[in-house]
Amino acid sequence: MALSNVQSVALGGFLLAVVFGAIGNKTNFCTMGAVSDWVLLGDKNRMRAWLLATGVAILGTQFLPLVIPINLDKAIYLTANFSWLGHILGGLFFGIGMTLAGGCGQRTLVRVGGGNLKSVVVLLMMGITAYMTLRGLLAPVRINLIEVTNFDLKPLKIADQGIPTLIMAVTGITDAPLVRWAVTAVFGLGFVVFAFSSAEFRRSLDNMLAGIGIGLIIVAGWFVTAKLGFDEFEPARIESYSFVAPVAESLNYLMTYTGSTINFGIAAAFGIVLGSSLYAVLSGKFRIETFTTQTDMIGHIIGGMLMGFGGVVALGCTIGQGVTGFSTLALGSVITLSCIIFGAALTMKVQYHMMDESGFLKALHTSLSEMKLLPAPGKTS
Amino acid sequence: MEAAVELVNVYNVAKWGFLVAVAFGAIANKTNFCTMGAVSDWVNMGDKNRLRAWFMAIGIAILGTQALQASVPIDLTKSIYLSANFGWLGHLLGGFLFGVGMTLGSGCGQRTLVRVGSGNLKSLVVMLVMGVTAFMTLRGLLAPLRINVIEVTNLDLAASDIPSQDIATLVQAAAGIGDAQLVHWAVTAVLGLGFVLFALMSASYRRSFNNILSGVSIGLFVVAGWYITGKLGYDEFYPVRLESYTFVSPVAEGVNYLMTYTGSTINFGIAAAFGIILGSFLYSIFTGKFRIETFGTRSDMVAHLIGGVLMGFGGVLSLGCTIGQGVTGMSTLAAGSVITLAAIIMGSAFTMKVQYHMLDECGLFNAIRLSLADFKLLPSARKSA
Repeated sequence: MALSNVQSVALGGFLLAVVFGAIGNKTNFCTMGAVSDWVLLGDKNRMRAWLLATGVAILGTQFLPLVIPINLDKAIYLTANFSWLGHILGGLFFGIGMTLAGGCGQRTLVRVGGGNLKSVVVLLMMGITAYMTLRGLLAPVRINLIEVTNFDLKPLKIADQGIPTLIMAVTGITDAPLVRWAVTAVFGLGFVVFAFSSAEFRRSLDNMLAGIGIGLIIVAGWFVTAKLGFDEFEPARIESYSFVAPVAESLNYLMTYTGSTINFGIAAAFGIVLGSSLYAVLSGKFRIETFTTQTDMIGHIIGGMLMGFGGVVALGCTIGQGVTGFSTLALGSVITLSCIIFGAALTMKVQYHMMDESGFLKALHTSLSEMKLLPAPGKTS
Repeated sequence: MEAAVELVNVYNVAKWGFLVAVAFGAIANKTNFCTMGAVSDWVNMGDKNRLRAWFMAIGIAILGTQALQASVPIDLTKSIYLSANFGWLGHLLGGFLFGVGMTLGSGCGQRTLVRVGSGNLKSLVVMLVMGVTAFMTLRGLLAPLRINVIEVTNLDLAASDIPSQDIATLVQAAAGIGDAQLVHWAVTAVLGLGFVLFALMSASYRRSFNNILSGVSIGLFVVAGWYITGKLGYDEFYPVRLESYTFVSPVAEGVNYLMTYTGSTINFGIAAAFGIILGSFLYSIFTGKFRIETFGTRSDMVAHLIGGVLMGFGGVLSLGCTIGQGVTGMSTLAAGSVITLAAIIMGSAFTMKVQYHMLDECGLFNAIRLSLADFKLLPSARKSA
């Protein structure tokens, strides 16, 4: 039986995701952990791994059109309908959520594969909330409060929100390839060089594997949907890995299996879980983990809800916007990535200061002042 | 905004279903009504008071619903319970799995909603897992299993010229009695009065205000549910589905409703599920009983997750839960409801026995063997330490 283009895309997406999941589990790749190591321990190695993935993804994805026909404008990230508020708010919520829930969407799937039942709860909360934001009870909030503020670039004769396009519009430079390669070099090489500039990072096999492996898998995802998904009349949606909306669609897929069709994102979500599970079992790391304290459970539930809502409003997560979106050089991805990191860092600071038994507002004030966003409060103990 | 004409009575039915469910939730919270607890008190402590409360609800529901059918009138054969397509395996297996599940999940579907309302986050997880699994069994990944493995064994009574699985109809067919009315009222009296008398026989029950309140009112709520969908929801052209309270597939539909709100329409069951939560929430807030509860131990969390899955799957196979079949279905005098009710109690009691024996640190299989022996289903085995 020959596979249809939809089935080939799903199969390709699934197999790559199995590798993704195994690498994610083996290397402890975790975007939340990256922020946490940095903010709480001053250790930037996992942050370098994440940014290396982003750099590799940018270089690979920008080279891809030279190899196969692919039109990245058709992906959701470059749209001219610029959702600045969604990227800011959604990113913040997602950053707070992933900190409370012990990891981002991708990490949650990896943890589920490793036997973590807390992450199963996060997955359910995130998937249901994300679907509610896409088509359910929260969709009117998204449409009427967030998306009404969208800024349409088209009336300004700007075709998309790609950073090269915006630079051309602002500076009046007309040599498109020049600008695009310059931006690609600055971000792509910039991130790669930033990562490798640390001797410690260069000695960390796991972090290099995670950064390069995940960056390449994102490029491969674009290849799969553009090349295997190509069809004259019914091409597959151009996309690569992202882990909020696809988790919501996966949940809906399980619930309405008899009337649903698989797609790249759904297959990817299941692939990550399987890959992580295989790695965990083969390496003897598989372990059932459950909630132990009240704050732990409440944090995970709220975190899942914030990630579901934020991830949809921002059009992606730490992978979906942070690596995949960024690889298209979309401005929205840069904003989302910054807001996610800010939201996560702020939450960690607040959690840290609340351990001193200071109240939430006081902890928030202290945290913001540490980030130089507020004058320092007089510390009372 | 005026509702479209075909939705007027849909909204009306949902509104009344919701309001009655708020009372249901508040009373269930106040009285600690719990069908799992009823079995547990009985099996573990020999105390039948909550079981009597449940049976009181069944008796009242039977008497009230049959009176309603004769007076309003409503046609109960249009409900899912009296179908001539008799799903005996679904009732047996689904009921048993539901019974196991509610024991592991700390309460049936209705109790889970009540607990969610009073701040129990463990029950929130059970509710979501049950809802998703139930939807998967209705239309998702588990639907083929239900259709191809369970429902293929359904027995079609219509082929034997029996129009429904109503016990009275079956008695008539078996005994060859011609007077349908006589048989119908005889069965109603035996079962309805039987359950009520069983409850009232106990002096300890008669002194328990809470157990009388829950039994009588929940029985009446189920009758009210039939009235709402059968009478208020009646429309020449756009009648709503004839149903009363049940708490598995409506929870599934409730989850799906939240997820697809912009393209979904409310119905009686969805409104009822939310109503129970709200009623319980209001009661617990006003009485200061609201308290956030979370998982403490690993076995607690694993059991709740498995319990939710089993209730979702079992509750759909058996077409109802301890309320949906145990009270609502029973009130239609359906044979399937009796089977489901018995299978649920059996599954639940069996699970409690196994849990009890496992406390002695004997393994699961040994505990199952000992439990079967307790039920006289196996020759009694010497307890190996």
